[in-house]
Amino acid sequence: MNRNLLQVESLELYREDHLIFSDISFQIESGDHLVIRGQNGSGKTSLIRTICGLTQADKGKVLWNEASIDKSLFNYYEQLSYLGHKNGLISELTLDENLNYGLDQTDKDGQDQVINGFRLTDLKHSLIQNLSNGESRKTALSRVVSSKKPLWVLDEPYANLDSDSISYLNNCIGDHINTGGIVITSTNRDDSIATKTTELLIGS
Amino acid sequence: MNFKRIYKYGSPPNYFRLCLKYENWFTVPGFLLIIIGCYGGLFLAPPDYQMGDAFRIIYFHVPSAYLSMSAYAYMALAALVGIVWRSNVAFSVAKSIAPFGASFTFLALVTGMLWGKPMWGTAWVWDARLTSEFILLLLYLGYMLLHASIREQKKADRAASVLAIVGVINLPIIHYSVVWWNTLHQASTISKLSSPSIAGEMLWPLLVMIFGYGFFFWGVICRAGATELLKREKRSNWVKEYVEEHQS
Amino acid sequence: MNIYLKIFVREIKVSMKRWSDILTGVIMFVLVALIFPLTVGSDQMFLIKIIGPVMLLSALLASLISMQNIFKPDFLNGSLEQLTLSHHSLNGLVLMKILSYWATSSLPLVAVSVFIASTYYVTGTSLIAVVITVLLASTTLVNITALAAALTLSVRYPGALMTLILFPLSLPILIFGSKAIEYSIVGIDSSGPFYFLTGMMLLSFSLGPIATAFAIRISLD
Repeated sequence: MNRNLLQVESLELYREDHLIFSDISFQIESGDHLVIRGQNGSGKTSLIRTICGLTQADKGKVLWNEASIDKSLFNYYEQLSYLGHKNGLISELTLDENLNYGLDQTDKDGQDQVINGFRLTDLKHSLIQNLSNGESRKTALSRVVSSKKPLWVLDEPYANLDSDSISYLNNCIGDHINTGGIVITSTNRDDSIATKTTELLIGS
Repeated sequence: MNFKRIYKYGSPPNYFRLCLKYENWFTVPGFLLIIIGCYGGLFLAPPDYQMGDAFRIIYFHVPSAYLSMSAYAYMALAALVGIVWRSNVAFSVAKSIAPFGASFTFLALVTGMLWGKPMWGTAWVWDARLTSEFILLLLYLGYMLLHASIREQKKADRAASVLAIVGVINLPIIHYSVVWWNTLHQASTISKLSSPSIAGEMLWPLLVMIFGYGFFFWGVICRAGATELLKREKRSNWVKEYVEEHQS
Repeated sequence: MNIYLKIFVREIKVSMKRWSDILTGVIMFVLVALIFPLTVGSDQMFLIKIIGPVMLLSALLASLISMQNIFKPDFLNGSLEQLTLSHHSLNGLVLMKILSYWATSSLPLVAVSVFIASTYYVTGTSLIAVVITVLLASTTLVNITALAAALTLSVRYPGALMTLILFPLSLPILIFGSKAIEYSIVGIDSSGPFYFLTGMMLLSFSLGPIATAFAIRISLD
């Protein structure tokens, strides 16, 4: 995998006159796992959405390999896999269909392995609407993990997961950064995350 | 014209100062022209040999109708500039044009109906230009309602701007489909300036009124746009400085 | 398989599972169209005269009642975000969504319009004209609907607002659609209105998806 670099330069965001965050700068590169830590309502989600280019910041910019993401959005999205608060799954389709409608390129074997790791193999052909919250979350995580993209941006990936799944997710993230990937996750808990290399504390 | 200059004058504090400085260059001539036009139209111009004194309402109807259409075009232009350059100035101009444009549209509709009463015997006739004026009012209302229903200012600006631009693409189509559908209105009164169909002494007050309305409109937009900008930029330093300057 | 084709197939599949939404539009279409004979009487001459506007009005109301279904479910479950963040052209993906939405929401109306038109005593070539008009008008209508739905995604109760946006923009279609049907029933050359409807279809398919994709990005901000 090529070396990649994500730079964030003095981001500032207001929502209806409330300052959500300001002066956020950092730089991460291949092999980094950045954990964004903060209380509920501290602006983690807004920051993550800004990094993904979904939300436009009032000031500052996000650079991927030294090019502003506004200018090379498609290049950036070719490298980015994102999981937000919402799982992005269509509840009328099965787990398998949701993972394979093909917005990302995936290899079947890798995907099966991930599904197995999250213990979802038996549920492969059940509809998303029949899964529990945790199972849906794991499905959405499988999509990110089995995508072949170097940058993973995960909003609260640890919420709703049982301990087995958390350790499997940690394994996956560990593997990913060891092979030159970049991971950004957010959490509102203090407990340390095994694979963390950098931490960003936001909110007071 | 280079872009640096546009950026310089398009920056919020500069725009704000320019507006306040030149506001009166529009408002004062606007008022004067409207007064002259009113006098000329209501007293000097001879009564029409067919319509009598009733025709004098064209001195209000025609300028309002002109302005209502062109104001929509200006609004869409400002919206486009706002979207392309993400300019808060352009968005505030677009937003402040909307209520005035809607008012002039409403005025054009009401005066048109008042004119129609003696002319056609009924206040409302389904004629092409009145109808497309009504559709224009709906477009303005759509813009304003969409802007008001999205709580986030920046998002509301961009969404409403998309609507304004789509509206301006559609406006000629709507207009011509309505014209084609039914034409009862008398042919445009001054579109052929070389051989105007109305007498010179009737025409000049109309032209004066049209210019007066235009100047007045821009004067009002200067002030409204500047106020809107002040509200939006209240966090920035130049507003704080401005307020401190003017508090004492 | 091509990604855009895949998305199209997926959307069709999902719409089929939400069959009650499809049915809502069809029911609206039929009910509005049937109210007229039931209220103004079954005079043949009169019904033939109003069939044009009735068809287009019913289509407009049917698309108004089901327009929330095009993006709102995906907006709520987050798959619209995923669509936006894919490295494929959002314009293309949105075009596929619009096409599939048209296929599942408007094609049934086209089919039903044959039945409605016969209850209005329309026969022969005029029947074909009605079907073609509904077919052409619905393509433009679906683009306008998609734009209005995308613009109002983040508005909580967008009902009146959607009507206000939809009505002025769809007016040319209503006028020319009605004329197309009227002309072909009366027996005047109706190619003019049909050319206009075709032109509007091409215009709306070339600009609609771009504006809609842009509006989606705004609504997700």
